[in-house]
Amino acid sequence: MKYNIAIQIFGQLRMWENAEQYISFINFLKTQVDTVDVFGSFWDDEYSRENYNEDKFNFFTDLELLPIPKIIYQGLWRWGYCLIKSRNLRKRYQNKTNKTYDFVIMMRPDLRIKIGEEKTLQSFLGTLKNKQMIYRTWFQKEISNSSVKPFDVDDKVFYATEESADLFCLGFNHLHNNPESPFHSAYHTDPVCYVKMFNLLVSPFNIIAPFANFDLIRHHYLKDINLTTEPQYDEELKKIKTLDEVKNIVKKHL
Amino acid sequence: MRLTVHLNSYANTEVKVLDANDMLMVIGKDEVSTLDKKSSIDWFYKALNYSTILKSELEMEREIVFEKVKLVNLNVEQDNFKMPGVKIYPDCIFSPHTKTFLQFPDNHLKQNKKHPIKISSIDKWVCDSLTYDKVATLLFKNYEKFGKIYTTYSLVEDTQETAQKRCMTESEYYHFKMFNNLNLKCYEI
Repeated sequence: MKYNIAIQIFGQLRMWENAEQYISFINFLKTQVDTVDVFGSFWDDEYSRENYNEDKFNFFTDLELLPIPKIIYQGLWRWGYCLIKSRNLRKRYQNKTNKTYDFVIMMRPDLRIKIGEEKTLQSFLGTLKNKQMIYRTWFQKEISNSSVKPFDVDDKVFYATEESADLFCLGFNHLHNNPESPFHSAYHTDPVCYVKMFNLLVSPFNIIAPFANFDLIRHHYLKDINLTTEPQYDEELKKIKTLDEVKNIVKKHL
Repeated sequence: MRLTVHLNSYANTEVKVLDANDMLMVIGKDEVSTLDKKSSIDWFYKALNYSTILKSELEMEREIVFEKVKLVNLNVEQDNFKMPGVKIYPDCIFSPHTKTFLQFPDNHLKQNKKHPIKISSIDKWVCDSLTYDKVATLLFKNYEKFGKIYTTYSLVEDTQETAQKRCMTESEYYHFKMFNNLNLKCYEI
């Protein structure tokens, strides 16, 4: 079977000194598929420019650095903005090359990726083709109904069929740019609004397709030094770009 | 603000503001190449899909979605209808050309005549922005996979032609199934 995969890496570029993890993940995918095309949409800031000048995006099929909008809204607004831009970057490439994808992975750039077994990926791709899925997305975990926030989800990685990815990304406009939207944006609830407005189906990939696991590099480091709970300085940590800066802040507070 | 999208493989792509309430977007051969396309329907799906890129960028720029979006495939139809003046709700597609189908052609007891299957023309329709995105992301690769002639659905009414006794075509069946997947309802203008 031939498979084509697209990866959209998007959002605020951070921890890109660990880009090798993404290269290893792509190489892992390539063991089972014919092509893996990588698209990047990041803010045009100093950190992104530095990495661009150092040629650290050389494994990308296409890349764009986005001008930072004058007004930036709260919550996952920035995340959704970059997501829709990365979708359009992929779609433009597809229009030029006449290419279609069996599977699209949308992910943040600051992840620690734990790669699983090749046979798990193989069997997942087989199911994808055999069941002829169209409007299906996979979130890392089940959608949580137990949180105070409505349908709180993880924003790190999403898998989708091409049709589903095309719609999911467009959710940004219908949530944030539609004053009549019946959906309400709250921190970490935007992805659920996107699937609900388009009637997309969702499954958890940590159970159904556990060929990789994802955690934020920042969170993994904190866990590694036994800081298991969210520290009080998490807001400070969210704003920084490199792991060295994370280490310095932790050192300062400990 | 309302948007009219024209798909025209003989024209070039352009976006222009018509007046305070209307914008026109033409998707043409310069952006969606007519070379290497298997058929005119293949070009239609590519162009329709491509329009979502330009439309979404316009919506992001203006920070508001279009209130109504009209699509006309100028390769086969004419833009000779007005957008409805009333509010259009999500998941509803309006068209001046709809076809009505009934299931179970040989069993009158089983036929649902109160709620027959209505399918609007894919070449001329109008809806809200969210629904436009749903329809415009239908892909030709699925048409190839799922377009089939089904004998269980037969045409009983057509707003343009006299209804002839025939089954759902490949194209009609594909739209019927995909609209069902996306929970879309078709109405006649």
